[in-house]
Amino acid sequence: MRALAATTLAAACCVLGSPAAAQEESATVRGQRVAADRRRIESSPRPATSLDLRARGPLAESVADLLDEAPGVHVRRTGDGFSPQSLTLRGAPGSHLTVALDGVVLNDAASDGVDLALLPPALLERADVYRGSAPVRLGTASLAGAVELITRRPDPGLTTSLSMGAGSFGARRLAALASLRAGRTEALVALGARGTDGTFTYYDDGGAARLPGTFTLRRNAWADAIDLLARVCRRDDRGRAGPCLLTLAGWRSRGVPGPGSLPTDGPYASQRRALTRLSWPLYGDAWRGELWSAVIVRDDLFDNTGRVTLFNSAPYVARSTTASMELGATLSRPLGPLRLEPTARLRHERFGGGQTLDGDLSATRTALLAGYELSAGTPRWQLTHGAALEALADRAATTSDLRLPWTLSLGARWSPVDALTIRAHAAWARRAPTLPELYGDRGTVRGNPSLRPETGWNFDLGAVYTRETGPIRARFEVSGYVRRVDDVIALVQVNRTRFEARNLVASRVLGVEAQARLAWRDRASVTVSAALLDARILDASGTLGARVPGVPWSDLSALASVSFEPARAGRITVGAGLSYVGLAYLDESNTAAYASPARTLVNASLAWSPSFLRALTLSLDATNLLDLRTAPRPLPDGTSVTAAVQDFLGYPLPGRALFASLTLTNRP
Amino acid sequence: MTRRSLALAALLCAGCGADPTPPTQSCAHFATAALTATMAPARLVVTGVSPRYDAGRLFSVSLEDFSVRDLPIEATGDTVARALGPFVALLHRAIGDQDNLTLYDPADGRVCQVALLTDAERTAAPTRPLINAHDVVALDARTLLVARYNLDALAVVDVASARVTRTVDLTPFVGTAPHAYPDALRRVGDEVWVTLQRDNDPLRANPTQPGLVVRLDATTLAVRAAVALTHPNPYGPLVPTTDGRALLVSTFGSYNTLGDGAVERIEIATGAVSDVVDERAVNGNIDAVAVLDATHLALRVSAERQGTSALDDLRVLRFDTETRTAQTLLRAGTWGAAAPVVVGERVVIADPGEGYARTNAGLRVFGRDGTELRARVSIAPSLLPYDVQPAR
Repeated sequence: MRALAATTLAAACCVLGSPAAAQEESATVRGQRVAADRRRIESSPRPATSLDLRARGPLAESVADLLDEAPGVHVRRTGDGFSPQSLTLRGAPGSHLTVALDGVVLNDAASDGVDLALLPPALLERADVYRGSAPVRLGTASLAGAVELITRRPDPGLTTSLSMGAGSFGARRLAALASLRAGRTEALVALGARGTDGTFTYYDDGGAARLPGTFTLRRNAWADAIDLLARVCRRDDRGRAGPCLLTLAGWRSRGVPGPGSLPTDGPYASQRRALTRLSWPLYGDAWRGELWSAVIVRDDLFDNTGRVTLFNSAPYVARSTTASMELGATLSRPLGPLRLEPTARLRHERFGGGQTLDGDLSATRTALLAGYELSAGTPRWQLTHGAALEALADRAATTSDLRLPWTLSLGARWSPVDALTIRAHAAWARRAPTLPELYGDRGTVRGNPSLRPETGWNFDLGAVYTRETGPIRARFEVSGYVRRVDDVIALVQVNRTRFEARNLVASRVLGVEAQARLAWRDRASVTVSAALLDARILDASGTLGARVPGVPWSDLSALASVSFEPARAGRITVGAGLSYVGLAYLDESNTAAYASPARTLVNASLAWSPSFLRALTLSLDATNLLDLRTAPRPLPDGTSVTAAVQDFLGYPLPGRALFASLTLTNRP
Repeated sequence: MTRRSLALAALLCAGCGADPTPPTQSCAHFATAALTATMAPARLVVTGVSPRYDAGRLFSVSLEDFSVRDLPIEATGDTVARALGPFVALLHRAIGDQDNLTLYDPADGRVCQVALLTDAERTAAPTRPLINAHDVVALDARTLLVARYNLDALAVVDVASARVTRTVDLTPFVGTAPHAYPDALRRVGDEVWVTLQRDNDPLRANPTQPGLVVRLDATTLAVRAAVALTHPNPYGPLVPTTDGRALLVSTFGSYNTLGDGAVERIEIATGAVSDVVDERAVNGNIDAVAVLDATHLALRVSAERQGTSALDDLRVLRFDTETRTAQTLLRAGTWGAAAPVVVGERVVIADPGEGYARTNAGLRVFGRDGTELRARVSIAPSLLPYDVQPAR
């Protein structure tokens, strides 16, 4: 124990900084920059929520945990934060959502969406959630919206921080950051490491729900991930942003536990990935622009071997590699009363892979995006218009195709008084099928080159009220929307062993979102987000049918924190969170026995920065405080059985978890 | 499980929540001579599943007027039923969901659920294995035999105690396959026959090893003989010919290959095997067969896309074994698992419907002569009939 204390103090000595006054000043500068960015995002006609991740990011379990508070967002998990997760936005699946990192779209032509569990929360500064549509620069495929993640930026002077923690189920996290802004150079290096044993207990009915089950330990649910972020930028002699090189590399390996009633022993999945982005700002008399290039490489391995394979299938190993390269340019210039922001991007993706069965499947997609956003307005009103066309040239084996998805948007914002903004936004978009949907994967998915793109539209109407009265800041937002998607692509089983993607269905979603944020200085804050939505499948005649599987009809998230400083005790922050998710059917026929019942999760946190060492913060976080792990499952005969709490059938969610951490921060 | 894990589990189990009491089992109720009784069917038990096989419901369809009603017993996205006298045996085999045998009495709703592992199998395996029961027959008034597709042994179930009391080892018959993959069971006189798929290429689904039929003594369950089939992948029930001298089984080989499967005939007395209908005669994979009369068969044919020709469809044919001609009773663009069922003078065919919502899915009824008697019996919106079984 004494050795640990000595080690901690030694580490503290290495990161102790300057006097408190200077710390407060740089914190103010940093806070103002982030706050300004968030206001800009949230004040546009397109509904958006900007989340400050600086405080919660370093030791968060996953990015999804951080996004949950945005209205309209619902995260579905197959286990803990390392397990595959899918994010639905306004009832739309992950394939309709664009995820970008520092402007680089992470969705690729081979995947159905982006697995958020792969993204490093410790290295993020901000997340912007665009609801209903996305900025033109993010492409044409955003049928439901987009999530843009912004990596950490350097602060003035030398900043270092170290966060580490451990918790339930073998959870372990480490985040270290060093950044320097001196003269015209700024650099940042950050390392994030996460891991877990995944050994949570869950209710296992053993495949026989009418017989007594047992609580058992989750097996083969371990995971480890390491991510590294490096950024070097130069400012020009006028202090403006200059060329910037960003590199984000990561490695993750995790066990593949399988369903709770059919656990595995051996199978695992790993991924290595690297993203590099070089940007070069351009400045003119009245315009500014940016050139950029980016390269993303990713290597995925799925090893289904070991003592007990996934679904007890025959063992196999599957590997795939994806590489993409893009060049892009944006511009922003006034045209009289208008502001024009054209965007162009050329992206080439190569997908290769296969199981150790039929050899490699290789396909490429080359995409040329050309679009613009046009805006006009005053502080009282703003009109926006965006349009983009993307030419997609696909090639696989002996087949080549050309597709032309597009997007179009119109928006308006009006502030009759300072505190109130009314906005409306409409968008249309088309999403091209992925390469496996078109050409198959040489495994269980057979290609369908005749697939049509998914097409959709979204209309929003909302209002935002903001007010600052002395130390109190308040923001209230409410939005109503309707969206529709036609030619939704779904997999159909065509025989005992094969699936094929087909344009099968249309969906319509009606919804209302609201968010209230109250803050008193930096001492107390409350954020409440709620959403109601009616997501339905439409049949061929346009008649409303069943609810879209996996989408709850209601969602509520509430976060509150209060800080106080008792005499000589330092600063204490107490936080609480509540997450309510309404009932969600898990199948297309809305079978009651397969519904995920409504549930409420309660979280809490406690943090302390001692007065004798303000650079140190000790925290204790508790998630699922009420240890909700089971729920009744109704049977057709009127009885009910116990089932594990789950978002996907057969994949139990963990119960109560504790996580203790310490953070040491030096700020100039 | 380590001591630390046990302590951790005990600590963390605090606050698990109040769990509902499991429904009452009534297993002794089913251990009666009625288990082996042969009764004239009065209804069809139909499993309707959601389009992506996530969920299922059970229905009773009257053979008198084809009225449909829900059965108040749970099903999964992969549940099949077998009639055992007046009772219904439900074989649940949904990965991640239910994987068991459930006996159900439609008359009074009593239920007996059986986890299909012996105590020794439960403790010997590193984790609980997938069982995937494919068929069940009653051996006597209190004993059932279950084909466990993912395990290399049949399970002998004592109904009254709802336990697996012994197993019948099939590992000597796997050949070059990783497992035996037992599929169908049938009582044949004083024997029980079991078909083994013995798929020697389960990942690619391109098997080359012919299937096997193992003949067991119905009392001792000792192996009397093993009959080698001509083609790989026997699938679906063993159905008796009208003369009672043989059984027919469909073997589809690989869905990717045309010509590696057929309807095969096995002579009961001699064990001789011959082809009745080759895949090439119907230009598709025959994965279910039913006997209409001495010269006609109902064949379910599932086609795979062949080169540029769009043969991707499901057909149910009335095939004349003498003239080698076929009448198409059903054609659909999606796959459906239910095999044709002959009940009295009628043959019931499952139509998987079209599109995401499985529009027009349901049952279609024909006479043995191919005359359409009922255009469609719909079981429920957006559900396709996955399994159809005659029952009391």
